[in-house]
Amino acid sequence: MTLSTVDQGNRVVVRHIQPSRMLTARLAAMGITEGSLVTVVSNKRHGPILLDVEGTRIAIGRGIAEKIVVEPLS
Amino acid sequence: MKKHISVALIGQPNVGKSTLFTLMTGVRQHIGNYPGVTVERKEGIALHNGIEFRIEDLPGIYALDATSPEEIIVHNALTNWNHDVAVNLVDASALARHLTLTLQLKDRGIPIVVAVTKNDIALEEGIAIDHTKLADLLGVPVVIGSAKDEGFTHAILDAVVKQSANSLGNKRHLTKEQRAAAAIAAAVSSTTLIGIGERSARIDRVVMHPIIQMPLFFLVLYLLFQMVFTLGDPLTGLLEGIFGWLGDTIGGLWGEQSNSLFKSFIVDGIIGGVGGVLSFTPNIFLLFFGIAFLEGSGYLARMAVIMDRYLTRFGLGGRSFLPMFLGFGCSVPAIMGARIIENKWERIATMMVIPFMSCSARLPVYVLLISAFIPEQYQGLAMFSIYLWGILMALAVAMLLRKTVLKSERTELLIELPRYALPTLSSLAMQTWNRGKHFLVKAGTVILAASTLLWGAATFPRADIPGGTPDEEAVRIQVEQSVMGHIGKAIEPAVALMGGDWRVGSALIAGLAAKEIFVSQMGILFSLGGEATEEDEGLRDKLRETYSPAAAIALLLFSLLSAPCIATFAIMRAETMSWKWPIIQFVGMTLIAYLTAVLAYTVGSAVI
Repeated sequence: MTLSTVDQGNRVVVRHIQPSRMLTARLAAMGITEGSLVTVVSNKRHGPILLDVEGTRIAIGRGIAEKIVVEPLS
Repeated sequence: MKKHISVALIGQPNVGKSTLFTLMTGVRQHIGNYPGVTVERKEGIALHNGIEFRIEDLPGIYALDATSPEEIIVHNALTNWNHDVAVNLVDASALARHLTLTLQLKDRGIPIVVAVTKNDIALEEGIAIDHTKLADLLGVPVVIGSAKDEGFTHAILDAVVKQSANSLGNKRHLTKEQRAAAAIAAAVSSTTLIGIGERSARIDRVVMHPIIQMPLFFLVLYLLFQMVFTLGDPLTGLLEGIFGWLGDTIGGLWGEQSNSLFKSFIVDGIIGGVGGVLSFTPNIFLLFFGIAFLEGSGYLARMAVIMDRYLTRFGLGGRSFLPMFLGFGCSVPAIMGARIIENKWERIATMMVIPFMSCSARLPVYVLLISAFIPEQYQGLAMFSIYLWGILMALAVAMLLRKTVLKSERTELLIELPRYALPTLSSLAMQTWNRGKHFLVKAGTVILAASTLLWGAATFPRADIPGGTPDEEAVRIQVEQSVMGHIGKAIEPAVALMGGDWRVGSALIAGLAAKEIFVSQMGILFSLGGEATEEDEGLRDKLRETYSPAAAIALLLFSLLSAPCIATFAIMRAETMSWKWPIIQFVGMTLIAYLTAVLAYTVGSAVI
C-alpha cells in the first residue's frame, strides 16, 4: 500500500520510495527513508497528509505520498 | 591569535539560525541578494574578546544536494570554501535528521563547530544529550545551549576561535552518512519521556482540527489586519500631520502669495512625494511584524498546509497564500514575500496576480466613487464585491498563466511544521526592521523619482494665468495646460468608451505613481484644490453632476484591475530580474481593466 492510503492514527514502516533523485534526497532530509517509521497524524481524502516522523511534524503532498510504499506495523 | 575570523552559519530551516545570527551580530548586519537569484544574503560582524568575526548566514537547507536555489548557494559556498570555520547548527530535539548535514560537511573536510540548539525544548521533552560524547564521536568541538542562554553565542565563538587554529580538518570519507547519523544520535541522546513534541502535537490537535482549522485561520487573518490598521492608522495620521506641517512651514519661508517654482518643487514635489511614501510605513512595518510573529510561532507553515488544497486547483500552492493575502495591504512587500515559493514558475504566477488583490492604496478611490454613486444600503455590498472580484480575477489569471506561459509540473507540498514557540521580541524586531528597510529603500527611491516626474508633468509647460484668478482655479488651469492635461486629452476618446473624460484620463495617469493620487488629482481638476479627500462632499457632488452611475462602476472596476503602481513595477523588475514580467503584467492588467470597464459601461448604460 502507499502512504496516501493509510488512515490517520496508524503507524507504518517505509518500504520503498519511487526513485526520483530530487525527491529521495528531500524526503531523506525530512527523515523519511526506507526503513523509517512514520505515524500518519491526519489524512483526509484530499489535500496534504500530516505525518509524525521521529517527533517532527511534516506536511506532505498527496502526490508524493502516492510514491511511497509502506507496510503497516503490527 | 587571529584578529579576524570568517564564519559561515549552516543548518536546516527552522533550526534557529537567524535568531543566533541576530544575537551574534545585532545591528551590524547587511542583507542583500545572492547574484542572479532572490535568496537573501545575510552578513554581519560580531565582536568578542577583541576578535572580529565576519559571519555569513547561509540559507537554510535540508541536505547538500544542488536542487533548490538555496542548496545551490550553499553548495557553491562549500565548494569554493573561503571561510575559516563553519558553525553547523543542529536541533537537539531532532538530532538524527540534523546530523546528516553535519557528516556531509565533515566529509568535505571543512573545519566545523557543531552548535546544538534548542536544548531547552529538548530537555522539556525529556531528551538529554551527552555533548561530550557527541564531540568524541564526531571528532569536532560541540557547544550546546539555546538562544535564550546568555552565554551560548559566546561559547560558540570561543569554540570557533579554537577551531580556526586547526587549519583544515582531516578529510574522511563517509558513504552512509545517514546510518552513521542515526547511530550517533542514538548513542548520545537518552529519551526519558515517550511522545516527543507532545505539547506541539496537542496544539496541532486543536489548530489543525478539521472543523476548527478554517474559522481559526480566518480569525488569525482578521486579527492580523486589525492589528495592522488599528495600530497603523493613528501613526499614519501622525506622519501625515508632520509632513503637512513641514510643507506649510517650509512653504511659509517663501510667503503666502509666492508662486515660486522652487517652492512648489520642494513642497509639492519632494515633501509631498516622500511624505506620501513614509506615511505608509507604519502599516507596512506592522504587517512585517505580524508575519515575523506568525513565522516564528510556527503557524505560518500550518497556514500553507491549510490553503494548499484550495490553491492547487488554480495552479498555485499553499505557499502562494501568504504573499497573495499580503497584497491586500501593499503589493510591494507582497511580491517580496513570494520568495518563499520554491518553484520558479509558481512564484512568478503568484507575483503576476498579486496586484489584483486590492491594495490599501485603492481604498480611497473606492470610497470616493461608491459614496458618490451607490445608494447607502448597497455601499457595503459594493465594497465587498470589488474585493471579491479582485480575488476571482487573481485566481483566474493565475490558472490561465499556469496553463500557458508558466506551465510546469506542480510542485507538491513537502514542509516541516516547526514546533510552536513564542518568538523573542528582539528577533521579531530585527526581522521587521531588516525587511522593512528593504521596502523603504526600494519603494522610496522609485516613488520619489516618480512623484518628481509627475510634479514636472503637472507643472510644465507653465500656463498663462490672468491676475485675480482664485487659487483653486489657477491650479486647475495649470494642470489642464500641462503635459499631464495634454495626455489626458489625448487619451480622452479611449476613456470616453468607459464613460470618463480627459479629467479621469489624467487622474488615472497620475494614479500610476500611487493609486490614491487619483482622488487628489480629481480634486484639482474640479477646481477644489489638491487637498480634496475621498470624504469631500463638494467633490462627490461634482462627480455626480459630471459622470453617469455606469461610468462610476466602470471606473471602480478599472481602478481595481488596472496597471499596478510604479513601485510594484519596480519591485517586479527587481524580483524577477527581468523586464519581461513587469511589462507583461503592466500591459496585461491594463488591457484586462480596460476591456472590463468598457464592457461594464456599455452594459451598464443600457440597463440603468
